[in-house]
Amino acid sequence: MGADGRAISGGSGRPLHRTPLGDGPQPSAGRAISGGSGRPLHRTPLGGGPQPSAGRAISGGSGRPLHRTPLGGGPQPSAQRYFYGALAVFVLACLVWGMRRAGAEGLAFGLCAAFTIGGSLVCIWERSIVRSAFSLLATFGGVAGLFVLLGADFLAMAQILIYVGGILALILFGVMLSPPDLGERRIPRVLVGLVLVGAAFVWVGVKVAASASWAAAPELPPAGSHAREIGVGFLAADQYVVAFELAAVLLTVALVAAVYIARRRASDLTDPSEGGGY
Amino acid sequence: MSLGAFVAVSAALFALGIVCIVVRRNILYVLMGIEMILNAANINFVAFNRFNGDGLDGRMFAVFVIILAAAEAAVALAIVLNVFHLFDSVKPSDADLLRE
Repeated sequence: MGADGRAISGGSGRPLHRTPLGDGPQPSAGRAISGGSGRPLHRTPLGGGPQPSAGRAISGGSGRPLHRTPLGGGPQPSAQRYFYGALAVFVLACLVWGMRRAGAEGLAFGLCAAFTIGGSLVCIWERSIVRSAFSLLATFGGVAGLFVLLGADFLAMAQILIYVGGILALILFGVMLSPPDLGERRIPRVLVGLVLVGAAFVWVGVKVAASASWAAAPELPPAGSHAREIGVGFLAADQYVVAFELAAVLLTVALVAAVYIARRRASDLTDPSEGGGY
Repeated sequence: MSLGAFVAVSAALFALGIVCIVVRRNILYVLMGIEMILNAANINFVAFNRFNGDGLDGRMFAVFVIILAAAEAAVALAIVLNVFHLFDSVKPSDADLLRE
């Protein structure tokens, strides 16, 4: 605090807003404060280090607040706007199509389908990987809703518990080690990928729809709760008990292996050239 | 809703998963695309199960797919952790140690 104390005492004598987390020797920031006009500067609690470019951008502006979010608009705000407009149109189209097709159940289906596909579209589109990971929440939730519409209530709950609660949390842990690389998404690349895969998907879909004869069961059995059947099926000797035990062994081996792979080795902790590990 | 609608949603989700893997240059996006593809397969399993007699086989397959996805995510993230530790990068194209 020595340098800061000198810098503040050399200023205009007004108490500056020093927040408790932004301390430490920051000579350039101290000089900037003492060389200022004596107004209290707004120091955010976590923005400790000197940020010359941000300071210049704010003070050199035309006086109105700059609405530049670091992750939002970026260099192509219009592309962002077009994308989300198209997404809204797509969601509305899904809802209207479902409601015309089958009333309330169709509306629920349209909502779930829009969540599923819209979430994955946002995941592909967004530049920030955190937003992509959270948009997968909509995808997994929509898939859980589709499971409910299909009468698979146990699977819907398992989907929410495992995917939303487990896998998404794991992915967010992985996001923490991904440095922000906002230039990684290239819009032409995304568009070309979408168009190519979409064309292939539509072509295959038309072919399949023209050739397949999916004779659905004439009278659909009523959707009931299948949790007891699934539990019995797991443990009955003539059904799935072997697969169940194999899955248990697989999960155990996979999780132990994951811990073994991801652990910090003792050499990492002692080697000075590592610089703090992961 | 008919079977075709569910299959269409599943196919769209599968295609978007493929796009997510192909388009983005980040290992974590590859993982997310794999999760989307597994979810698409799950929708197909459950939908065909529901519209073909409502037995138990399709649901069981879906349960095992979910178990497999959980194991895959754990191991894949451990591998990503090590790759990042080794190469200081999460781009798949940077992990080219065997090339030399």
